[in-house]
Amino acid sequence: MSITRHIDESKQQVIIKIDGRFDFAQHKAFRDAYRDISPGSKTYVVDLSATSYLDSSALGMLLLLREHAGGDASPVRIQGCGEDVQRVLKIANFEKLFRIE
Amino acid sequence: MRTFNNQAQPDTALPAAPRGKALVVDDEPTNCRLLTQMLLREGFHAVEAHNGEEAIAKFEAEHPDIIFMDVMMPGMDGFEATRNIKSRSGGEFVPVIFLTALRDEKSLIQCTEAGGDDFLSKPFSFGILKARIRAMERVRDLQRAIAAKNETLSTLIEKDQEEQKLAERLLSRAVNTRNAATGRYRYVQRPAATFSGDLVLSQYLPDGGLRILIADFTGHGLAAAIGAMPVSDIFHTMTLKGVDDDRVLSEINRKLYQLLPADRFMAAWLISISHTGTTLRWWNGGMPTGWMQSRHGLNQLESHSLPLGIMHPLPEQEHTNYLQVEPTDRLLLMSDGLLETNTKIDGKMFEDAGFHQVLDRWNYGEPVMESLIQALDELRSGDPLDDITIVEIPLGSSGYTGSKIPKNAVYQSGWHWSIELADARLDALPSLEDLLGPMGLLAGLHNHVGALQTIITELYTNALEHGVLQLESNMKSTPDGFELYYRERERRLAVPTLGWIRLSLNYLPGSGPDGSIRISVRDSGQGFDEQQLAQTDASQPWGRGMKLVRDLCESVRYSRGGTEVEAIYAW
Repeated sequence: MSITRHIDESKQQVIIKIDGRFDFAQHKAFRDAYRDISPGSKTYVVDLSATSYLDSSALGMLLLLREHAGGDASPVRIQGCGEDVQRVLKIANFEKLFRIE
Repeated sequence: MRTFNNQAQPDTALPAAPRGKALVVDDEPTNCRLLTQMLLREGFHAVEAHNGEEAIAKFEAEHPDIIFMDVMMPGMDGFEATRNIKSRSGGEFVPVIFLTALRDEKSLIQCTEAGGDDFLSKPFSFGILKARIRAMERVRDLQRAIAAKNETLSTLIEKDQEEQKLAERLLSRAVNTRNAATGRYRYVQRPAATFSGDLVLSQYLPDGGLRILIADFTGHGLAAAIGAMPVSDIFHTMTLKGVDDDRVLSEINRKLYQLLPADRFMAAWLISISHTGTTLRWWNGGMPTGWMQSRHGLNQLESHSLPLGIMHPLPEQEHTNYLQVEPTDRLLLMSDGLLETNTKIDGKMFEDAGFHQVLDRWNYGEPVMESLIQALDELRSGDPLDDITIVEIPLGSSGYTGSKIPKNAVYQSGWHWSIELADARLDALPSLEDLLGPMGLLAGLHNHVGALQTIITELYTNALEHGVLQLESNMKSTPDGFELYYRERERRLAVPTLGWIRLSLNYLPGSGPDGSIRISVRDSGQGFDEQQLAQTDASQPWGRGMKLVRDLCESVRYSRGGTEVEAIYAW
């Protein structure tokens, strides 16, 4: 289980990648991945291609990131979801809040 | 130039920092004095004993922090004395270091078996002894720190559990006791923590229809359950007034959006069944797919909306769905805790390991809850990690459409019913449904059960808390007082309460425009000043119950010095 981030300065984009289970235990690491970036200044890609499972607190964390990124018109993209992850995001209807690719 | 010798650090002339009290046990006075001198230089305060009995007496009287024990002494030897001392030291760790002339392996093993923490063979170097003392002190300090932390921790845990219990009581009182028609549907709840972040609410609509809300807050436990209070208030109040589904959802959404931090929300089902049992309105925001068993097979009712509390206002297209149904249709709804339960089959979740098999075996018109729970219990491994809620609703159950008693009889004949609860039975008044339902007395009155339940609950609570238990409302003027009030209530109920409350209901057909019910509640208490009650203003955190009763009733009248109240509910 780990969270890594990569900042692409040319695109003003932050890529956050979550390995393994994305649940409450990742709370701190996930926040640390973006808290030093000034709010609303960059776009975000959350890479879930290596994520095995997502729970409701992870959904909450995504909402926090969305708020940090600028709220309603927020540019947060979620990519690489596997079947289980997709199922959870779909039940929560998160495609209405995020660009899911 | 100095030679390298770790042992040879010169003793400083300055007195060392105080290091507590040492007990030196040796029958040889010279040995005793030598060791004492060294310990004094090291900053210890030293006490001497010259045999085993004396060692025990000094241990009891002086409470030393460390003990140096000779083995061979006249009378009680060092082993025996150490065993005795160790059995007396209780939870506290007082290190015992054996200083012994014995060198054979068996004797040294005996030192440890007697409860000694270390040993040194005589003659020994002071340098080595000092190092051993340091090591022992480190162990002792660690033990003390752990013991202190454990104590703090267990106090905190106890306090936390007490608060959880109190909160659970408050919540279930506020949330569950208001539910109507609980006999009309089946539900099973298994909380993962002391209490659940899942919520099941039900209430009659003014037209006799039934509305049910099933919700799952992010996470579980206290934090998740706090949001349940306002949701329950909005749900019951607006449903009793007949407000439509979309406006109820919008209001709950608005409130949660305002209250909850950005990462918290509430997934929910809102179900409204018409009084004929032939129309179903459903809304699913973030809950797992629900299943409706109809004559034509299973229908999936998928999540079509965001959970509540994330976005305000709710997007336009996320309105309620309509379905034409038959009274023999059944609805099965659940929280994700059920589907995500770990099973024994390759660590798969219940959804992939057994849930669909249960659905496949579900026959039209038959209940499914039993076989679902059975399959869950057979397959699950360990305790649930998340709250589990399962709700099964038969859409047109008995007692809902049509009753066995002819309509004319219901409307034209009156009845009188009463119950008296006393002493230890005072704590819980059964619901109106449970009391009157089996006798058929509620037939034709379904539109009014919700309101009647509210009135009776409020009047009964007042009689219990202010009449029998003599609690003061104004205790509730501060948040602390609120807690104190319910704690005190629990305390007074726990000691054998002596007293009684009598509830009487009198159905008077045709006395209002259509009919009315006279509700009378009398208690064995000493009564109160009803003038004071009238002065309650809306900004106070108490006294809302009586205001609610006055709003719902045609008249409310106190008599017998405040020990009896009579309310007339008419329609």
